Amino acid sequence: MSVSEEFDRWAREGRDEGMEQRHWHTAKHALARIPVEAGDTVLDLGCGSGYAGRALRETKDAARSYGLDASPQMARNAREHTDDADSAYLVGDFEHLPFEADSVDHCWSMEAFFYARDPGAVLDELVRVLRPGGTFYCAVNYWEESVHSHVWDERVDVPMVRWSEREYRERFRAAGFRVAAQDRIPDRETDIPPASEFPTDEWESREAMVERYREHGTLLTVGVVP
Amino acid sequence: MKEDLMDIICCPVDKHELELDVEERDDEEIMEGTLTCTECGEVYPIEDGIPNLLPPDMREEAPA
Repeated sequence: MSVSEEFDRWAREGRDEGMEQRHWHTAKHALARIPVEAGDTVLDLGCGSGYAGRALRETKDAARSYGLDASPQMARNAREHTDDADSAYLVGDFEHLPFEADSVDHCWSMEAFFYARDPGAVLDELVRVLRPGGTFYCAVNYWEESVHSHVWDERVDVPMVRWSEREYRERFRAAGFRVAAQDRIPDRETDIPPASEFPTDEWESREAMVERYREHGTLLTVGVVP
Repeated sequence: MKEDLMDIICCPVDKHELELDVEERDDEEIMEGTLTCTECGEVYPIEDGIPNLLPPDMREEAPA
């Protein structure tokens, strides 16, 4: 199944709203750090329901926010969530960005980057479309060191790329980014039941769940275009 | 989409300029129309106000 088909199915089932709620626990901390200035153009790669771009419009006064998703149904859902004409949504492919060179100030992506078939090509495209000094804030909950996330690729019907933290830094640099920061943002909000309730459907032990959310959380890698 | 999107979008395949044809407008929003690459001639649809700029080999018929 293609990424587009898989996420069309998710969007029709209304799963974009659940994704938004789960992602927000860590995404809000990362979004707050993006140095967006009033008047900037921001791009949300794999925008899903489109919450991140709308947040950057509202909190940082970004002039224009563009959400790109491979799923036409996701883009339609995102558009229905807002009346703001300067929050726009497009259907497109990460590896073939439909934007001119040096046209975007900052790019955000949450839990989407690893669905690319060729993530190196995505990084090359971002270096092309971002202006000098522009940043790529790449947030993922699925990566090598986050060992409890490894089972997810069995639940999603599309291939997922699992890089280590070092690979993220190396591949960003190879594409032409400078790596400005990389850290793990803990999720302190997902409810973790008392030890007596384990095992649960999803978790063998409370320790594993604590490690997944409170210690691993979300990996954020920040690239800056020289 | 608003017309100012034309300032930054291009053909996803060869990165050349796109030409806009409007079929239906709702105030300042373009609801239906096409974007045609001035170089390769590929036509990208605008449906329900959303441009579909997937490369042609990745574009599938949108479900009703």
